Amino acid sequence: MKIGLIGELLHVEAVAAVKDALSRMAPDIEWVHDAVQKDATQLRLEGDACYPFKKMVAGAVSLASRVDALLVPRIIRLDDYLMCPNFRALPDMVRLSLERTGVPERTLLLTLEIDASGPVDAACLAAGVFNRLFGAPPMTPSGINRTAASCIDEFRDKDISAAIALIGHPYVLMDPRLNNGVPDLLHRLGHETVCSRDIAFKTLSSLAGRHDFFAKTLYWRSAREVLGAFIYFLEVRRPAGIIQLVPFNCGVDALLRIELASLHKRMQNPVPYMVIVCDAHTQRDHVLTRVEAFLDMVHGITLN
Amino acid sequence: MKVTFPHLGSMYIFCKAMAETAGIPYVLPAPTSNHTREVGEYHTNESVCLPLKVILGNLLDAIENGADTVVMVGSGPPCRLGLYDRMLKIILRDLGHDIRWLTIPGMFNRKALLQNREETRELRKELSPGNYVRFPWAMVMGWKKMLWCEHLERTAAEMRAKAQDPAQVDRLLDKGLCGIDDAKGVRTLSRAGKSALAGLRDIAQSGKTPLRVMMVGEVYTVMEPSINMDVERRLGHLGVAVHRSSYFSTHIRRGSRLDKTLLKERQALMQLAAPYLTYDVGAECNFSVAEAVVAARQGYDGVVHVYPFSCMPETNAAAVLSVVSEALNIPVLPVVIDRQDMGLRIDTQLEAFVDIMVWRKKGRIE
Repeated sequence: MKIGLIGELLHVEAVAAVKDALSRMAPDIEWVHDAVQKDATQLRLEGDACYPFKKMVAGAVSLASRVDALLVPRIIRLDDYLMCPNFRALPDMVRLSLERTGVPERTLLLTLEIDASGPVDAACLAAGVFNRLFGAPPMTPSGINRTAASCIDEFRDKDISAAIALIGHPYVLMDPRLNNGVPDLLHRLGHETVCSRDIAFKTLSSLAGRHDFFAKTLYWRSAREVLGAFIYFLEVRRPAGIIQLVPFNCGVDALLRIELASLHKRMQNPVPYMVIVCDAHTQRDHVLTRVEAFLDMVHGITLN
Repeated sequence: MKVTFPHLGSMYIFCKAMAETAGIPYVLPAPTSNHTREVGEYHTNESVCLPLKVILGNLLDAIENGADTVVMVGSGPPCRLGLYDRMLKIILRDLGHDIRWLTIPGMFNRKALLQNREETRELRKELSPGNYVRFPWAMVMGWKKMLWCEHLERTAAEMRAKAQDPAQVDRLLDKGLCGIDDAKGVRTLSRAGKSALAGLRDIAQSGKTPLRVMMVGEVYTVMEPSINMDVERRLGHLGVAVHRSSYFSTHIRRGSRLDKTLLKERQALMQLAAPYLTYDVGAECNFSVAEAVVAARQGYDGVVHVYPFSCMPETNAAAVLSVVSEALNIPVLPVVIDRQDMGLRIDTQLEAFVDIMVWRKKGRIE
């Protein structure tokens, strides 16, 4: 059986954990993640949605005709913090877009709801999907973890003083289609990178929590991740520089940029910090220019 | 202490009435202008929603005129409005302004009430016994004034579309709102309100049956004319009666969760949106869709969907509304608004939309 799952969402560890658990329950599943390029389907989504979201919807629409079932997660909360509202609407946006393009009758649309106040029980979620796919609960093989193992370890012993820290949403950091090729570019220019994903969310959330005030708790998980990582890299272990990768029109990052810029301004001797806004550009020269200028700052190069 | 509060429709009349009746000095920001929007954007960024930019502009204006305490309406997740005051505090602090805050909880939960208690800890020291004694009555006066303002605005929206001279309705409304604002007691308030209503209802009418439009969208954008580029007034001048459900009083009553009727209405609206949105996306997203469904069922001629550029829930609502428009055969006009918007663009869109509604009514298009 071929199951489609939006590739960008594999960078959300809860989704990857559910996929792994389901693969163990049903090893015959063939996963399809990559959208067909240049699919000109007119989506339902308006132009001012953020690029990752538009890509996810477009990707799902593209997958639907090539798979037997399309699994679309609705990620509401992770670690008791909210995801962006777009994730709540994702399955409905995909469904409405498919209705416009015409869903192949044989393609089963499945919504996987992830609303976790603590560790995600990937096996339980996967079992639910299995049941809907095959009409019966899975026989749970021994050895499947009942909870999703965290794949993030703190990188305590690594020397990051010469590295460039990348902070942002996990799907933006890890997906070359969403990050404007910045990590690869830095590697080509001879710089190691570290990112917010290398740090446990509990640590990041705790650092971000220093700035919470009663009801003014930063309630988005990705915002806590980014703010916590920023504080970590400014105060706990300093890299050579910090680059924040922001999707154009990301509502969460729009507010967060204000807070991060303020923190940076108030620090004594902070590391260089830059924001790169990522969108559906195909040419990357402007990114190269900015990164090169940033690295000049990192290396302390000045014009005489 | 000198309090200030942003313009939010007629909310400023509510806040002003409370401050005046309780004897608390206040500074009213200047009416929102292009300069307000520019200042707001200058200190934020391009993807911050317009309401935050406008509020920031209002507050900076008031602070320059001596305000030292901000009263803000709060909200909760997942909308960004819930974090506006957090961001505003940061921006104002970075600009060198040491400002105290009082957040009116948009959701009455334990954390919000604890925050309120913490915020008022210092403020209470500056209040006199007289302020405390007058405060309950100040809330009553403020609430009554706000309800009168909303009543006038509803009536004006209806009469403007029927009037021979819509500009006269605007003048009467402005005069009525001033009369309500100036009223010092319940009797004068009631007299001012009734007089304004009578003036509006007595206006010479054109005799034409107006088109009817439901205005839906993000709460702040719907309520504040300076943010939505005065869509309601512009449509009224084109002979369109605008109905909206977003008013400040409904926002407060909803957040308090004390009005069971309102809560039941909200649940019913969620059910109406369910065929299109199977989960609560947050803020007004599902309700924008539901109200469009209501509009179609009640024979409205069209729906105008106003929302700020980059509003996360309403961007989803806009996509869904295109489906609702096709499915229920009702024209929907999305009006995305940002700092750089010009009135002429809005006029062009609205005029074309009115043409579509007129032609549909005449049977010239389906």
